[in-house]
Amino acid sequence: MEAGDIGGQREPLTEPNTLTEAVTEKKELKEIISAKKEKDATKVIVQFRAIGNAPILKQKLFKITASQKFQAVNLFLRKELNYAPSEALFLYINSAFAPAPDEIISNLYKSFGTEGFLVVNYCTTAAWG
Amino acid sequence: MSTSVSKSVWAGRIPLAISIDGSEAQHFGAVNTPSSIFIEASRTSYLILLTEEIRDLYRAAGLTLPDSTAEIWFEYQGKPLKWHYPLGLLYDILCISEPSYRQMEDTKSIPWNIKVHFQNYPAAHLFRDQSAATAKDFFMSMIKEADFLRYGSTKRVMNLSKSDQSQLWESLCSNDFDSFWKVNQRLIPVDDQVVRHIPLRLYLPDDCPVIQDRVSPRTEAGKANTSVHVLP
Repeated sequence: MEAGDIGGQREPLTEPNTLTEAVTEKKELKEIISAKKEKDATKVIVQFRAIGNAPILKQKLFKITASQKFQAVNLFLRKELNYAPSEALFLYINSAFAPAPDEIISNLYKSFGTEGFLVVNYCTTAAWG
Repeated sequence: MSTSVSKSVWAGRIPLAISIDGSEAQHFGAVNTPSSIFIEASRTSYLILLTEEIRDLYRAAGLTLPDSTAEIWFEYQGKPLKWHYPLGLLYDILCISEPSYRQMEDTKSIPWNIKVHFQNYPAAHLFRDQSAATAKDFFMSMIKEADFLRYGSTKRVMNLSKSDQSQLWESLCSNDFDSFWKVNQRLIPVDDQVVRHIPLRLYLPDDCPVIQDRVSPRTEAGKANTSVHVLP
């Protein structure tokens, strides 16, 4: 454990010196961007759960490259289900929301992953507005 | 909770200067290239909410354009502009960058000079199903993600009536802060109420992947978290 506040004083972060130090330690934007752009080969385990009368997959867990976008999950599932692009297929995370197709799988996993999986529910009619 | 910061952000506007290439104007039957169209748009608004108005203005300028807006897209210095990003976000990631990262001469350009196109939709760069309805879906999904991060479920959003849910988007379209806040205040924590995580998404320039992670309201040492700690 790190030391707590002394005698209920204001947090050191509100002191200008500390703040300046913290800021100068920051990496340059250029470095951050090039690090973020490096291909991330880590995988995220996606667990597919069918809702309603959507066809059930024999295998439910799949590893997907974390740097891919959510639309890759949609395309992958369509392939597994043998669904044409024109057929309706709705995907949700945690039975709660449908991410935009350009959201990144690693971000979704970091924010919404549970017990080592990213739970993706799928159905053929819209389920959660 | 004070709404003054939210209100100021909401009140931000960007003057746009929209132009069309001469060859494209001719393709759609114009004799002369129409002069630029100037629009002052809200930073929280979306290009998709402007497309019909812009099409009508170019029609009035002599272009014969189809009723469908499916082929309309915008570009800034060769980059197609995402219709599902708020205008203020697009402007910031494309025009304002640190001195260490300045790539274009034309930074902080006011008015913002963007080009409109009525053909050759760049489907490799922009989602095909562009519509205000889809933009609303993405927006609502973002609201639900934020709810999930704060409270571990989307109950607060789902407990809103359909009309209250719509009011969030519609007040954004009509730039009505009070109407937006009336609903939004039911989604955000009051006073010292502690949330699980702070919803935060970081967009950087140069097509950098968006950064999003769980952000705890407190640091490991138990202090209030600040942007200095959270930002990379």
